[in-house]
Amino acid sequence: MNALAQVPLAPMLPVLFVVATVVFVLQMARHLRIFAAAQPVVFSDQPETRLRSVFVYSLAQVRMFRDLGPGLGHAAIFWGFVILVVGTADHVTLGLVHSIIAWPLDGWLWRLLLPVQNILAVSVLGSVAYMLFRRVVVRPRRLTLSRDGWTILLLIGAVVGTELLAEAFQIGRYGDPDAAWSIVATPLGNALSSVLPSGAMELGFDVSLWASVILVCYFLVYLPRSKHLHIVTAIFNAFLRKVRPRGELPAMDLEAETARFGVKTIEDLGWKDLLDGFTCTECGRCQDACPAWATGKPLNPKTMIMGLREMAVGAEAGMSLLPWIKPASPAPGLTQPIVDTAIPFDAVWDCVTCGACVEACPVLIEHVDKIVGLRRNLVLEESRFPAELTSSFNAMERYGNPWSQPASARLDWTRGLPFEVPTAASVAAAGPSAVSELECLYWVGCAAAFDDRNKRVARAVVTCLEAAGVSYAVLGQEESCTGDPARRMGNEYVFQMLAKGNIATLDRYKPRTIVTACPHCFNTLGNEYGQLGGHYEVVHHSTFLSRLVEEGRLRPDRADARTMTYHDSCYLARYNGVIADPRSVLGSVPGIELREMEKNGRGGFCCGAGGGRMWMEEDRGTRINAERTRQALETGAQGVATACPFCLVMLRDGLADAPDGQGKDILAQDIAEILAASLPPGGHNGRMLPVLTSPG
Amino acid sequence: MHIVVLLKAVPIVGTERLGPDQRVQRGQLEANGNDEYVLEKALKLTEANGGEVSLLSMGPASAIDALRKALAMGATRAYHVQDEALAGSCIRGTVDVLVAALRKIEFDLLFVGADTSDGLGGVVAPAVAARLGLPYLSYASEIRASGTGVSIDRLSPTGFDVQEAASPAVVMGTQLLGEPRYPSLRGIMQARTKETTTWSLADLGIDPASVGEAGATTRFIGSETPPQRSGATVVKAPPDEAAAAIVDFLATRRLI
Ligand code: SF4
Ligand code: SF4
Repeated sequence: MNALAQVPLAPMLPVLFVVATVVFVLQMARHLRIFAAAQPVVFSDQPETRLRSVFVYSLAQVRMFRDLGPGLGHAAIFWGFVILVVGTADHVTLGLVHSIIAWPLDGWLWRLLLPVQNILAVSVLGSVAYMLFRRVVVRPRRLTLSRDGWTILLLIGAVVGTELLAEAFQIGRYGDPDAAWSIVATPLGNALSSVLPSGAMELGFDVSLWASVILVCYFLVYLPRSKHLHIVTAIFNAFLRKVRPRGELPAMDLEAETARFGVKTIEDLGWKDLLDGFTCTECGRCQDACPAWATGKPLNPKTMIMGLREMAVGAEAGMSLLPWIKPASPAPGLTQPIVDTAIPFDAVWDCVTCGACVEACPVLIEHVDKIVGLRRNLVLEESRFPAELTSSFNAMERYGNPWSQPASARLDWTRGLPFEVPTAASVAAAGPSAVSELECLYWVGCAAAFDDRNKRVARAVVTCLEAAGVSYAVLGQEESCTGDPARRMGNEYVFQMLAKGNIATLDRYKPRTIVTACPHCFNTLGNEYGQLGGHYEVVHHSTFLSRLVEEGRLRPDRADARTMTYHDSCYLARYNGVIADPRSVLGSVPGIELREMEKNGRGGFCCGAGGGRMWMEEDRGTRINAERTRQALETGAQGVATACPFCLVMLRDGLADAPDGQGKDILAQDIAEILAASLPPGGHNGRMLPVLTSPG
Repeated sequence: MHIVVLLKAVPIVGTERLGPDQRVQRGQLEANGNDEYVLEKALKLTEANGGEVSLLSMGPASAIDALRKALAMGATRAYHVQDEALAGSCIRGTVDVLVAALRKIEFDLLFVGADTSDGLGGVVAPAVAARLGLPYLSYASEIRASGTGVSIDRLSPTGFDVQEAASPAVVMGTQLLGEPRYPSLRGIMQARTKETTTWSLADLGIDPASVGEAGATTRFIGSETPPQRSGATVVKAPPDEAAAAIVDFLATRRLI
């Protein structure tokens, strides 16, 4: 292209670009050298899911559109950037790219590209202006004003602006056979040439062209140290994302004598975790979603991820850019403990493992697995954890449940029921396969066995099973805690001990389906026992009950004329996608009108009891259950339905403590209780049903 | 400094059951809670001043789980006196056995917990001290050890008294010594291979007929589950109201 060749020092354009590219590559390679110091992780499973993630999350960026304005702006900048790369490539190759693209189809490909490029350039400029406006005027809480953010936005604007200007000057001064297709640059160029002398036009072209190339080179050198690195890393992060069930914490070998247990330094993280750090865009969506942060606790998932990146960058500080120069001493960042560097000790224990952060993150960063990794190290190696956990750990280890109750009390909840609740042991007396011939095994769970409020839920569940004529059994004394709280509190040792015991019991009976009313048991039995060789078909009671209603085996007919709101349990909705079933159970009860809270389904807000927080004091910030109760009351509903024993207790307490007695006449109830209460009185399908008193 | 900690394996509190012989069943055992407190103190002292902690326990085979847990907390080794003939030993028999075992061990200090959750006798430790002719310091809320002796803060009705003794000495500690630690996984793994020595009565040179049921100086007649008591007043109310109700209840009975 003639015009390009006339630019002063034109041969230096490619040279400068090559130098910048080499610096970029060396910096990226240094990141990879840090990755090499971390733990190896292999990603070979489910290639199709991974590819699909790249399209859905990196190219279509679906999560960005949950926040429409910024989502659109971001998409415009992203696509503008991709297309504008063509222009830049053309400049630094002195017109080679143009020649190649204009070669096939008689130059039509190039001609079609021009208007697209022009439109996108304008939309990028518009979006940059909008983003700056948000940072300066709107100031959403999740964004921290950082120099990096400003630099990046202004750089993008400047690169695109100078490139568009260069095109305009060029067309205005030298003309272009395809000028008609440059729908923005041509009118701009013509306007400029009508007011400027040709010398000024030439100078304008030279300056804006050089400026755009210099800015691009600066961008390349700056990028590896910036949050904007996500334009390179996000695609990999999408491909390398966790594709196993999200509720499955990483497996752990407790017999490895020399291993580090859990995560202490960044070397103990997998290299994908470090990639997470380099991918974080600091958008703060995780922070916005976090119930711990929302209630004034020191935990902030965003600053944790940023802190991990800072530690990785700190470790790089001791490394030369040239890979063959070995550092004199090992970088301090590699051996520093993460706790109290990237995240305060208290914050590690504030997490309810609700997964709202993971759900919110547009670049698929995994926060929860890292936090549990830190807890594992604190518990298993350092015995450093909130004091009240000692008794929970001991209780689970010695009694097999966090309530410190003897196994002999496991069936106390059945007292006074008008029918016998069969135990697996008694059923198995009829033959070794008798239990597997049952329709289901009802996994009661510790909460329903020992907590007085939840005992009523267990009674309601068996009432429904009886009414529908389901053949079932319970494990009774043979059941113990699934280990979910221990695992999420970082005590993998106690988890595996409990899990192995339960797996031995379950494998003896081989139940066809396990039904449980506890989302934590549901998640752990279904998603985590596989790691230890236990593979079962596990169904949450909301799904099982909604099927019974659908099949006409349960016919709720007593009206319940209440407006109700339904609180989603994190481990049910967000982790396992069970969202419609509990609502369909509620919907089957005549008269109930459902009113959703603003945060529902996958975007639900934790009750505050997950991640073992049920057994910890909540003395930092305000109470999470109070906040969730406030949200529930805001709907004006007359009842709060749940499908999780912990949510039930937390919301009951939240309602009891609600300011001004607002929650006084509002009951928190499990969906099974609501369903059971609407079954025909006295008998159903010819069976006697207990009279269920409403919980006081 | 070598500290020996007496540790008794007791039935897990809250799950105690009477067997067909009307005696407390010794199936699943845990370390007696009070013993863990003195063990914690012993570990802290040896960690700070150097030395080792050994455990001594008399009990059935299933006591080994409780010993392993204590080893996981950081004790160096365990001595386990185990013999069929020991079942049903009275306090005098128990003291005989412990004294014989302690004569085989060279130690500077012997730590014991205030009492056991299943026996509640509280006299074994002073009896052992008397038989060995050692000073006995009791109800320690704090223990300081030097190379040649020990000093403790002994709980008293007005605060505490400071007492001192030259080693070897026997110290009985209270829960004020501080929460026992939770063992680390590394500790649990190391405990599997730590040295445990099992002694039979023959090893200790004790005549089986002098201990156990046969040699008991007190005789077990039988046991009974107390009848369920009724008439308890249960206060179910928010904390403030509940507190007021309890104060009223006590006040009307002139208990406060
Ligand atoms: S899991 Fe929940 S509580 Fe924990 S950091 Fe994420 S959003 Fe916050
Ligand atoms: S971790 Fe994800 S959601 Fe949180 S700030 Fe970084 S990119 Fe945003």
